[in-house]
Amino acid sequence: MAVSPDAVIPSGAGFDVGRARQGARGPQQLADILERVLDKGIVIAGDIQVRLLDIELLTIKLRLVIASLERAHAMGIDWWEGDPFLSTRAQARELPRARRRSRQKNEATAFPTREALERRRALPAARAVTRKRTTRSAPKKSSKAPRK
Amino acid sequence: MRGRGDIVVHAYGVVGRDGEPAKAIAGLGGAPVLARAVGRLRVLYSVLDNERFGRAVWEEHANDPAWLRDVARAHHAVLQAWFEHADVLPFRLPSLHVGEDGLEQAIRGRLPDLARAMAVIRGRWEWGLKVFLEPDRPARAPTRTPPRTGRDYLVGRARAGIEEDEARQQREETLRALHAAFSKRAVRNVLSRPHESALSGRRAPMLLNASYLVSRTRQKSIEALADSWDERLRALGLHVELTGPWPPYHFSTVGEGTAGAATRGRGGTPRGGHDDRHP
Repeated sequence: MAVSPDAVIPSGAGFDVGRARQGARGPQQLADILERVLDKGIVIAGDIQVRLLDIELLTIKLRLVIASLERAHAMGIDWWEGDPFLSTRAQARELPRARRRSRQKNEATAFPTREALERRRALPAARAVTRKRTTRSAPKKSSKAPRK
Repeated sequence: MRGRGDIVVHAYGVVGRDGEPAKAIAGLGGAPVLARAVGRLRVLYSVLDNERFGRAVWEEHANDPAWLRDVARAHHAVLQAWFEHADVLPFRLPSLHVGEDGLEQAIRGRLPDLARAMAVIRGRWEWGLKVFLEPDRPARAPTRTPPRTGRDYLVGRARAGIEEDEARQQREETLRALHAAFSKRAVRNVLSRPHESALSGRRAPMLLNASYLVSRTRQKSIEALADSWDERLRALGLHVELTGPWPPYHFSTVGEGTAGAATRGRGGTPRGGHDDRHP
């Protein structure tokens, strides 16, 4: 319970209402939690000594997230504040990671090709249409595209 | 049965030998939290799917605030559930290990350090103290007589500048006194960088972000202290906010390499202004 409220509990009288759990006081906000959980606490080397470096690198990366949160906030992007289920999490749950990755790969490499295919497929039709129209005031775009 | 390559172990922290929450709490991804005795300590951990919480997944989500927020909360929730029933040394997130035996070995290798760290936090809780400069609580009534001449205007601006300087100085002195008063009740204290207002989610600039390690028995006293200071500082347009009790995140350190977290004594200087001067 004490972990969940993002809502800022008003100060003063609100404190008592805000005692979400026994003895807890004041709102525990995301920033408070992230500051502590990502930046403080004991670091123990993992199973393999090499991992220490990895973990530290990772922690630095994670720390950067706080900075990017700040930047995003400054730009007015705060979608994750409202509903976590609207965010990538829901997406992640729906799509197994492997599939998601392969989809991303598809999008990265195959998409232009698919687009090109469609363009090619659309060409004859477009040409037919423009041929009919060319006599009149044909829009520049459609008359230009087929000729390429 | 999951094989060694299919799992990853995340450790939340170590706790003393006695005490546990009345109700079991779920860990990362809803996984059960296990406790394994190592020497005189117990390590709290979860066995997780490599597919969901392996190193690659962390790297993949390093810039995914929603994912991070959930794991941070889950990690914190475990420690939060335990720390009122047992002395807890939190681990930094993530604390990944290849297997349970590997984790036990890692802990065993640091037992003397962990015991020393445990001795510092035993019977003590962390409290957070933040001071905000509330824009809706002006320290002084603004003098709203419009300037008649250019000279009046300039004089007025100079005076406002001086007043602002004085107010800032007064705030700084007050914050020092406040920090000293809390430090007196605490075993250790740490001053952290105040959050940007974007991060804190509040328009009011944060002037002080301090943490104190305080005996459990002093909860009432520390709360009363915060209330009385809040009352006193209202006149200066300041708002004092106490959070906690927390597991002792800021005061859990072992050996060198993690220095900077638990510094004894004056950790720094409270800021009186609200410009972007960072230590």
